[in-house]
Amino acid sequence: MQLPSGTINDSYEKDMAIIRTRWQWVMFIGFVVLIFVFPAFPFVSNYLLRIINNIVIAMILVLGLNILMGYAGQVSLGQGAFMAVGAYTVALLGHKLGVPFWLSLPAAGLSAGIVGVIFGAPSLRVKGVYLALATIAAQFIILWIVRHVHAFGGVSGVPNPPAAIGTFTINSQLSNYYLIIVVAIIMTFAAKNIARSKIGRAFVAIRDNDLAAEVMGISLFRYKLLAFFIGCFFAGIAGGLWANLIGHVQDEQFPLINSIWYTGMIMVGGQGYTLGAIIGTFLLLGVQEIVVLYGPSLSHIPGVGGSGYAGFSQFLMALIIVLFIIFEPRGLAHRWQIFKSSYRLHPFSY
Amino acid sequence: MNGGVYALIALGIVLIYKSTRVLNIAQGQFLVVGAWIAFTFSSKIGLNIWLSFFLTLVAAIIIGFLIERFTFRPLIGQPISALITMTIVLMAGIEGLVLWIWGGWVETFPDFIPREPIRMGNIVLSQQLLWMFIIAMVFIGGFALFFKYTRTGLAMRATAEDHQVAQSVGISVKTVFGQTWAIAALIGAIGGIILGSLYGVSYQLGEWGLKVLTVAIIGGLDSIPGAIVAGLMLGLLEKVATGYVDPIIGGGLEAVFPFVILLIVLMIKPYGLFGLKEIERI
Amino acid sequence: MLKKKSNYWVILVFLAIALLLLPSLIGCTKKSSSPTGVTIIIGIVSDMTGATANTAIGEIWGWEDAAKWGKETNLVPGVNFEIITYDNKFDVGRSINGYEMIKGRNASVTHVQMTGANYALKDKYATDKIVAMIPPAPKALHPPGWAFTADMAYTDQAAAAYQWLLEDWKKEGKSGKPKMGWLTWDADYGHSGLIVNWYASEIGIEVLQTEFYGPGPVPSDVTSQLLRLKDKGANYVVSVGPDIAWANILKDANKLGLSNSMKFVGVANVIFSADLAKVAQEAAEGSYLVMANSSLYEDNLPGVQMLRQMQEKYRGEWRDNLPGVRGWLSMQLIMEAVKQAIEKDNVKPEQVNGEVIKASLEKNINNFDTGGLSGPLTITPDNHSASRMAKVFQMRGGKHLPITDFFEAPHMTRFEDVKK
Repeated sequence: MQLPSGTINDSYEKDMAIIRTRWQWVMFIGFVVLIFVFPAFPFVSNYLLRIINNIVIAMILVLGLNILMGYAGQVSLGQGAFMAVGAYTVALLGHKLGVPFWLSLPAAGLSAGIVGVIFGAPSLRVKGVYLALATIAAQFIILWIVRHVHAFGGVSGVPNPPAAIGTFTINSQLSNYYLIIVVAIIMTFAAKNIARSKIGRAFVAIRDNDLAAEVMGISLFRYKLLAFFIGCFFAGIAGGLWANLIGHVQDEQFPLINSIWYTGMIMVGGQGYTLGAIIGTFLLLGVQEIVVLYGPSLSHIPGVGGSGYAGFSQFLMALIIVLFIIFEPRGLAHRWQIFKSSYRLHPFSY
Repeated sequence: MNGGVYALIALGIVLIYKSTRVLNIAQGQFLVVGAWIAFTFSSKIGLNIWLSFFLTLVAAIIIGFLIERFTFRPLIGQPISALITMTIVLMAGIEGLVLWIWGGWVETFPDFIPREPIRMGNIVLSQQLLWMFIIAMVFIGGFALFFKYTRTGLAMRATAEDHQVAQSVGISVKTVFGQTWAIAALIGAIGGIILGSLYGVSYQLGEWGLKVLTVAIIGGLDSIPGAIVAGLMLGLLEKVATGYVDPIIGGGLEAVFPFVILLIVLMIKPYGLFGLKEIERI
Repeated sequence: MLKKKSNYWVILVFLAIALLLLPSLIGCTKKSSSPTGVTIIIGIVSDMTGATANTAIGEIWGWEDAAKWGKETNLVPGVNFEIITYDNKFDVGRSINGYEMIKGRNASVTHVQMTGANYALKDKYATDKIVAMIPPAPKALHPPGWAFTADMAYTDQAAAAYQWLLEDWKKEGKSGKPKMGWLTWDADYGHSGLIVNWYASEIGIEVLQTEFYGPGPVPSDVTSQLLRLKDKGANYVVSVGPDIAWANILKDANKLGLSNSMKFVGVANVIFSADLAKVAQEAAEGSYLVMANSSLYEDNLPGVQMLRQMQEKYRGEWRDNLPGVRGWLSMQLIMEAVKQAIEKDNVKPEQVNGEVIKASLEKNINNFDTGGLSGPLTITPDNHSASRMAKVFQMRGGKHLPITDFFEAPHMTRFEDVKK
């Protein structure tokens, strides 16, 4: 980590701390407080909260995918389906067995993780783009199963009873916001810490060259499956939160195209940066939302009349993201790093 | 018989992968654009059907060059992940553009392949699908020769290996990129014309892109014969699923059964059926 | 090089901000010219760029045209109807974003086009007191909540198809039970007819094992399914699904020469005839369609003429836009409900809200005349699908022409497939 000059790591604990200087502590606490009081601001509507909830759930999933793809180098195009596993776990446990959300949420993560390990098994032999096929297969197979096995609710999906603390039920956008934010903070810390632990370093070694990693004594079998487990665990948690937020789980909610966009989010943000996953999700989903929201007013521009504005606004969205990619092919997190270091070194260029 | 269609569209994806190492998720959108341009020339402007197809192909080549010039050229030398993301975004962008220009309707252009099926004893073949198949095979064969014997084809293959190395031996990576995308757009336009005549011209043809993506991967992304075999095989497996497995397990297996089989195939042959086996060194 | 790049970066940020601000500025200039009177906001969350845009855009046309017509004729004095739209790209998550958006804009009526989203929103409509005019998805309409449809529930349309099919069988003088097989889309929409198969077997139809295709929008080869249905001796093949897929089934059936031995019946109105005729051509000839609207080729009906005039006036073109009928009727019902509430129930225009509209819909929509576009519309507190009558069409010369008049079908409230 790049630290301001004068910061000396004189003990192991200090060296390992994520938040190192006093100023960072101030920023961090300020940020957390800001997140928690955010809904109190007058401009915050239910709509905005809903958007943020949506983005943060996607962010949790993308954080997991970042560990899987960015750190361990295993492509997954089936992340939406693993999210579905988590969502169905929560909904079925809650709806059929009356299991409280607090138990079913970790169960969602676990079940998605286990399913992920099953579909990740080909990763032991298959690499790169071919692994993408195995994970696309997961997308089709999992959704087919939930659609056709009667116990999983069939095509019309499963209603999900809202989570509750005592008599207080979490079913509004606001209460969901706090639930999601708390889980997201925990998951972000988990993601950050996994990335810099022994496991994370093993993942990076596998990503860079798996044969070399094996020679160094990293068990490919164990770590590749672990990568899938962790990546899908995150997806499962995201799915569980999604089930609670939406209140009804159905296979249509997890299409293949979403899974593809999730990978796009990582790449826009920057592979292998926890921050990248966060920025990428916020950027892509944010731009999409803004464009959809302001789309109708585009119809006043000559030539974009009628219902054509929706297409035009989608084109605009793509244009904005194209520009981002062209100017930041290594991801926005990379630019942030450069910005930070140049700011720190300000009067001198290096 | 759908297999031939899959193979032709998959060829576009394989081609791009072979020369640029980019997994082109936007290939389906080339179909849509091709089909709509052909519709515009033939039905809106009212040109002769064959002339309008020719113009469509020309237009497709231009579009391919333009796309490459403005989206992929700035990314030469950048990580592949950026290029793949670019194809995802292109997919959304072209879809938006098509919806803006032509709207979300379904249209058709005049028939150019007779609709009457051919009957050979008990076997009934749709002429349209048959022609599609033949066209696909001709193009696939042509491209196989192109890659093996022409200078451009070899340059494309060299570029696929490493941009910088290719540049250092005097291949213009830019030109190769341009040519590749133009050809991919051309193939897309051909596929779009044929699919458009079969299923109607609409932006929904783009969905074929995702389906065919899996075909290309099964075949081993860098193998042209692989794309053919995989396309045919996926078509066949779907038929097996609907014909034999559905009555036993229950309907709708078509979308799933091929994947179950392919997962097993992948466990045995990790580089796809015909993929180039990479020899790994540390 | 690096320096040049960072300049680009600054330009990019400005460009992005400019692009985002531009629409809002244009939006502001427009708002200043809003007319006086009470405004009722109708929020449409529909698919404009996703997988179902071809039908969804048509439906939005219907809503907008009806609203413009209402404004021009001053149908409800003192009340303006403003339609705001949100593109959900056929995604449940985005649909709910859109719902929150229109809720934030104080909409009292909404139209959420995606069935999956309507399942999720069903309870929210009630808590937020927003009237929802939705596609006729049976499980979202029953038990009745705040969701209504101007159409006939898919299950009721299926029931109508069963009734007609039995009659047709008897009319041809055949004995025994007719055999009917579903060959339907493997998604919630395609399954919506299956869940009243119990009714078919109750009235004396032999229901064969259901065959599926799909669920993706890519048309798939259905030869095997058709041959199996043929082997089981199916007399009728029934299907619910997107138009292109239906065209594909008919083409395959034609190829196999099954068109004479089996009757092909499409249920529900998204199978628009113009597209079907264009894509399937002569293969579609003779196929049947059961739906709750009139065909747009029935030019003699005043409702069809009106729809046509409005579309030519506001869109500059005439399309066989069947989904537009549902949008048109939905908006008509809303305007009628508001009008009746003000006239009959003495509600002041400024008091009109979701609750008033719901109560008025349930009370005042009684045999609402649609000029023959559909059967008379009636809404009661225990049946929120307004249309009770269906009509059967046959494709002749590329057009769906009616072969029966509107006839009533029972309202289905029990959803289960036949046990195999």
